[in-house]
Parts: sequence; C-alpha cells; structure tokens
Amino acid sequence: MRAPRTGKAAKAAWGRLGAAAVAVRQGAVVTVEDFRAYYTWRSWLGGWLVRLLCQVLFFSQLAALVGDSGYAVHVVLGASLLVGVLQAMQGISTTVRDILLGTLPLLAASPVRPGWFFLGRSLCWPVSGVVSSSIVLLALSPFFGASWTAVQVPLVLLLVLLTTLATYCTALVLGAVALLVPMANNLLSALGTMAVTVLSGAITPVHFWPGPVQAVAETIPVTHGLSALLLLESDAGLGPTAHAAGRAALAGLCWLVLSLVAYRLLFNRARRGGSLLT
Amino acid sequence: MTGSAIEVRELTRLYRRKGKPELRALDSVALTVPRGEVHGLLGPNGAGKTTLCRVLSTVLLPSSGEAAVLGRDVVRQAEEVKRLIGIVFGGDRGLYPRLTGRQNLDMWASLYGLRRRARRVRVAELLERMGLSERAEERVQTYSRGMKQRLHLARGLVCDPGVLLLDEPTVGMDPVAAHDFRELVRELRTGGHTVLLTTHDMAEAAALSDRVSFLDNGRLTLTASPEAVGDVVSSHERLEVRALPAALRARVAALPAVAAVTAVDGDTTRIETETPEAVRAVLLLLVEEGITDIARTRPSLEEVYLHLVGGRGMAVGG
Ligand SMILES: Nc1ncnc2c1ncn2[C@@H]1O[C@H](COP(=O)(O)OP(=O)(O)O)[C@@H](O)[C@H]1O
Ligand SMILES: [Mg+2]
Repeated sequence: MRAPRTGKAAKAAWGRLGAAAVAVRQGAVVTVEDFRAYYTWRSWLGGWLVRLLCQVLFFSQLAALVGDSGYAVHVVLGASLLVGVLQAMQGISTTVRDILLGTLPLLAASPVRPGWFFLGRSLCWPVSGVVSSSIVLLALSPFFGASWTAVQVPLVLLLVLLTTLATYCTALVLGAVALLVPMANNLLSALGTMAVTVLSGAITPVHFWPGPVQAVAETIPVTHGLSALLLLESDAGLGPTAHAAGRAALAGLCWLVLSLVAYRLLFNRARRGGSLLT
Repeated sequence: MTGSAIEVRELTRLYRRKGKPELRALDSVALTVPRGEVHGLLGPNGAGKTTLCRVLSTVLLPSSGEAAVLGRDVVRQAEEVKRLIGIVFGGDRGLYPRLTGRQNLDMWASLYGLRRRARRVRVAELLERMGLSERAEERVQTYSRGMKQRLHLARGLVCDPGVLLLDEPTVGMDPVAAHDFRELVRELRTGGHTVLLTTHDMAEAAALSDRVSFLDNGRLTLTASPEAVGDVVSSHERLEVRALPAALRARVAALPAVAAVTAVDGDTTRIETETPEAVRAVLLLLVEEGITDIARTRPSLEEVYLHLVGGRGMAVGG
C-alpha cells in the first residue's frame, strides 16, 4: 500500500517542481525583453559598466586618502559588491510594473505560482549585477591593495554570485510587500537600497552600529557576503570564509522562502479584497 | 448540474470601501449556462459584469453563494477551474508590450503546462486563426487596439478552455476592428465553445448570443432570447432634432407608432419610434419642412430592458 502512495507523492512533488521551473523560466523571458529595452551590449559595456567603474574608483580613492590601506581594501571590496547588489534590488519594482501592465489578474487566474514567476521576472538585474560586480571587483581591487591567488579568483566570483542572488531574494520580499501598498513602492526601494548600502558594512563596519541595528544588519545577505570576501582576501583560511558564506546563503534562502510564502498569501488576500486584481 | 458549463447560485460579492458601507456588486445572482451556449450578459457600467467574470475565473472569492464551472466549484476546486476557463478582459492591458505576439502566447501556453512541441503548434494555429501570423514576431507595443484584443482572445484560448469568459471584449475598438472581432466570436460559437460574453452593447449581445441576461446593480433580473432584444433594438429608434418648431412637434407626435416626443435640453427634441416605418414617416415629414439637423441614435440599455420587462408583464397579464 505504501509504495504506490509515496510514488504518487513523489510524482506530485516532481510536477510542482517542474511547474516552478517553468514559471521562473517564463518570468525570465519577460525580464530579458525588459532588459533589452534598457541596454544593448554596447550601452551596457560602454555606458553602464564604465559608470560603475568610476563610481567604485571614486569611493575607493576617497577611502585610500582618508584611511589606512586596510580600509581602502574594505571599501573597494564593499563598493564592488554593492554594484551587483544594488542592481539586484531592482527586483523590488517588478510587481508594481505588473500592476501597471494589468497582468496580475491574468496571473491570478492561471495555474502559475506567482512567487516563482516573480522570481524569474527580474532575473536579468541580478545577472547583470553579478557580471558587472565581478568585473569591477577584479579590475579595481588590486590597485587598492587587494591580492588574489589563482585559486581565490573563482571563489571571489562564487561569493559575488551568492551575495547578489541572496540579495535578489530580499528584493523579492520587498516586491511582494509592494503588492500590499503599491503606492509605497518607491519608498520601499529607497529604504531597501539604503539599508543594504548603509548597514551591510560596505562603507561603515557593522560593529559601529548599536545592537538592534546590528541585528537588522545580520539579516542582510551582503553583510555576510562581504565578511566572507574580506576573510578570503586576508587569507584567514577556508573555514571562516565558508562559515560567513554559509550565513549569506542561509539568509538568502530564508528570504527566498519568505518571498514564496508572501506572494502566495498576498495573492490570496487580494482574492478576498479585490482592488489589486482589477 | 454537472451538465452545465456555468452554474451560479445565490452568488453575492461585497466590496469593502473606506468610510462607506460595503458595496454589493453582486446580489444573490443565479445563472445557468448550458454547455455550448453563447450567453450574453448585458448590463450598464458598474452593473457587476466584471465582478462576476472575476469570481468565475477564481480571481475574486465570492462573499457568499456558489459558482461552478463544468461542475467544479470555483473556491474549493479553484486549481481545476483555472485550467478549464479562458478569460479575455477588455481594454488593451494585460499583455507584455515588449514581448512579441508569439512570445506572449508562448509564455502563457507554457504557464498553462503545454510542452514545447504542443505549444509551438497551438501558438501558430491561434496566431493564424486570429490573423496575426504576419505580425507575430513584432513587439506587442506596436500593435493596434484591435490586434491586441485579438491577441487577448488567442491568449484566452491557449489552454483550450471548456468555458470562455469575454468581458467587454470590444470596448474601445474602432467599428471595423469590433466587427472583425465579433466574426471571431461567431466562429467560436460554431466551434462548440461555451462563452459568457459581457457587454453593454445590445446589438452585440443580440448578434452573438444564444440567450441574453440582464444584470443591473448586481442583480440578474431577466434572461431573454436575443431575438427579443434584437427586435426592440432594430425597431426602436430615436431621432434627436434641433430647433423643432412647436407646431411641427405636435404633427410629429400625432404620427402613428411615434412613442414619445420629449424636449431633451435647450432646443433639442427627442422623438422615439416603435417601428422602422415610423422612422421613415418622421424623417419624411421633417425633411419636407426643411429640418435637417437630425441625429439617429439607438435606445439605451435601460429603455430596452424596461420594454422587455413591460412586454413580459403584459404577456403574463393577457
Ligand atoms: N475593487 C473594488 N472595490 C470597490 N468597489 C468596486 C471594486 N471593483 C468594482 N467595484 C464596484 O462594484 C460595482 C460593479 O463593478 P464591475 O463588476 O466592474 O461592473 P461592470 O463590469 O458591470 O462595469 C461598481 O459599482 C464598482 O464601482
Ligand atoms: Mg466591467
């Protein structure tokens, strides 16, 4: 009796996983076309990337002038990481874009799980973030005293990837909150971006903040991603680095689960209320 | 009961409003649409048509009462209902403008669970049917209103739904596009689809539907044959005349089958007629007297509705 039932459950689980993958992929189709409306290869490389390089260069230069060499390394790594992270935060405004397009009721009427769809819906931003962050970091950090061995370079890339994607999951949760109060979307974006920039320790070390603020900082994946990066750079050993990276991954996972739950709950709430889905 | 495509019983939907009492958008609505029927749901703006469509498509929960699509309850079996129903909401929102027509359809087909090969066939077939094949690779933002609406219809059909909900699909279209769109709906009808078509255009409802219901203020009051509606619409006409002298006005009122002559505002007079012959007679008289500032309009939904209810009342009385 048991075997067929577990077989059935396994099949259903596979089905759900397949549907989730489809939803992410179809969301990604939309983000690719959206992204293309913003950038061509040329404008991305020649405009956007150059701008980001200048920005990080500016902050790092400033840090080198006012602080010791350790601080310059800290800032160049932090600012480079933020390059990707801030692009990932664009995920916040995706849902509001769909409210304006009028696609939410159609999504609500379809079998799609909105959380997975919206996971794909802005994916281009973190991807652009990972690429630009990596380039900026590897191009600029050696000039400000960071040194990487050949083995460390892939680990750096991995950490950038992890941190950016984990931050994207934070953005998704904020995007779901924007469903609740679409008018507050810009405010949410601003607050989210500010929290990530200021609290993550990219410019100001986390221990500078009072306890409660530090606790908030702990929930931000960048805080841990940056620790990991700094530990890696200072050759603190794989153990501590992996530990910090693990914390970043865990934070990201929590945000991901939270976003899936939030989208589900908020869509159900909208079914009862009505104003969102009209 | 599982025999009907749509079964609605005692359906009520309230909307909460800030600082005001709850709004009763649907009030104990009962409606049965058998399989294969094209059912016209007529009602003025704010009648509750969209609310009913949204409840049927699982987008809104009912406040009380029940609704079922092909025997599945829209609340308890929502996941099943979603795959049985296709929705087309009027207006040009709801598409991803930066995607091409084909990409839009392909996306939804995929979200409804069609595999790659089935999807390619289905999407190509729908584009062809809607006359969009030639522009399929262009972004939707370059489409005309009519094309967007045809793409919407294709989107609604992508999961091969048993029941199709068309919520004021021709609203805002130019007459030619609306005509083409109605042709497509007529084809669906011959294809055996069950369709619930909401509209405030009586001619549209009469032309497309097997039966017509009236929804007003959240209440479904009457189900009639489209012939009854069509008869009233085609025979009843209104003429609006500017600067009609009082003497002439009396002569018009005296003509047979002229139902009413009323002053509207300023110097405009409305003449209501009950037969096409009467229209001709009135027009002849006016033109003979040198009056040319005349506009022909159709009777309003309320007027037709009142007429049908009145007519039925008389039939019952006699
Ligand atoms: N989200 C909402 N919140 C409050 N009132 C609403 C909402 N949606 C619709 N209504 C009201 O409910 C009534 C029915 O609306 P609707 O179903 O859109 O009518 P129709 O489609 O026939 O024009 C209208 O009075 C409308 O103002
Ligand atoms: Mg409506």
